[in-house]
Amino acid sequence: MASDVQGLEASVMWYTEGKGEEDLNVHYFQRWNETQLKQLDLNNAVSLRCQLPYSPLSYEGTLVRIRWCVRLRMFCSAGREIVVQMPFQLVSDVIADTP
Amino acid sequence: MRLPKPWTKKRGGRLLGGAFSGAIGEAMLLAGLFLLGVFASALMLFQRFASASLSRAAVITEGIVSDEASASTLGFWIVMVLAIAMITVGGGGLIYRLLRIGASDERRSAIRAGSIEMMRPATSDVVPLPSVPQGRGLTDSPGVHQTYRLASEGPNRASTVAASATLSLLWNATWFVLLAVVVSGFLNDRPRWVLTFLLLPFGAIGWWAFRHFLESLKRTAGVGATIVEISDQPLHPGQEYTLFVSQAGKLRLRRLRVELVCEEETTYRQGTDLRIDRHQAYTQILHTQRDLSIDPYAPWEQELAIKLPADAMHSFQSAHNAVCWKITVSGDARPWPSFCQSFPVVVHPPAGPPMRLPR
Repeated sequence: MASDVQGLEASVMWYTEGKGEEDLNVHYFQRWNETQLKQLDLNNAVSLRCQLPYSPLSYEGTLVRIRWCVRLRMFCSAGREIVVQMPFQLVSDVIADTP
Repeated sequence: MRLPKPWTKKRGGRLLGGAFSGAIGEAMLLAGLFLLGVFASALMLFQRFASASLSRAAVITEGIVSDEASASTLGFWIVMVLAIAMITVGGGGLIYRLLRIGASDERRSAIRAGSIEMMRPATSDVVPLPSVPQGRGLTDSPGVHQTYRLASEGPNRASTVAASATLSLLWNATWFVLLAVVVSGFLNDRPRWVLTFLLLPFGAIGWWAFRHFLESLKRTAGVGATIVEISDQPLHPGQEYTLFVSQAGKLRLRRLRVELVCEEETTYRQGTDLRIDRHQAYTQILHTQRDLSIDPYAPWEQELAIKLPADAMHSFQSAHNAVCWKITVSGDARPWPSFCQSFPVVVHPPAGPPMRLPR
């Protein structure tokens, strides 16, 4: 499987869901090409570090929802792509501390 | 109702009659002057140039334009100069009168001067919060009762009046030109019956356009300026602020309501149409009052306390989606139609980088 992967992209981003057209913004982006992937041991966890912004915070509205996620896009042979994303909530520490 | 007495001495700040009826009367006088000028100039031009093509000599009835006036070059130019003067005075005066509606003395002074000293935060003080509207213009206008005066959004009343005035004047000017052609035809014993009968429906449309212009002018003059001032900007969830609201005009209101509104706004395509959908996610009624009268010399004023919920979503703006906060002042007015003025505010996330504002 690892030999099939020709490239890998990791993004920390937010996107909108809801009635309107989707907006998205990538906050952090990293790409590994085939050569770099060979040096990377994909069997072990690879950590990403980035400082999240103060906004936009995660939001669950009626027409608009704002989602944060870490999205991995793997480029395989024959043009195949596999996308995996892990959602997370970006909240203010003031709100988080509120009982 | 007190009738104006023009022969009595005016004392202090009292006015003979209302400023409101004065504005209407002045607008009607200027519009009439403009249309009379159009009619006179069209009649003279038609008599001089169009009737020359007619085989018969022009026979001009007394009482409208004299023989000498249209026949001699001097008379023609005297009437033309008078007509152009009427068009200039009427049209220019009407434009000047419309420009004075909805603009304060200070704003007009700033427009005349061409520049105004603005109070802005220093560039170094502005910390970017991604996808949060910067709201640079929000702190441009200092308030009188509170720190900042909020700018209103939505359709500009003055531009609505200007649009209806332009439509009314252009249509009626065309109608008077056609009337001049018809009158000239009758004077030359060549009546244009089709055009004569067409003048009736055209005149009805012109009358409707003129009434629409007067209605919008009365509405603008009757429902006066709405002023909203706030103690601080931008807003932060969980914080308290003081709001000052003032409504001017000459009107009786069935209900006046001040609200804090959070609105979701989204843009999407449906076929080839671009649609905008809005949803009020949060509404807080700050003040409601029923059955109140507002006098031109004593605007309705109220100071209100406002507290944002601790878990309020901050303002958000992206290409197709937005979360907007605003103060709305709405009223059910009689005899004028109901009105609603919105004053956008910016809400920042509860935690953020320190931000120093100038006031």
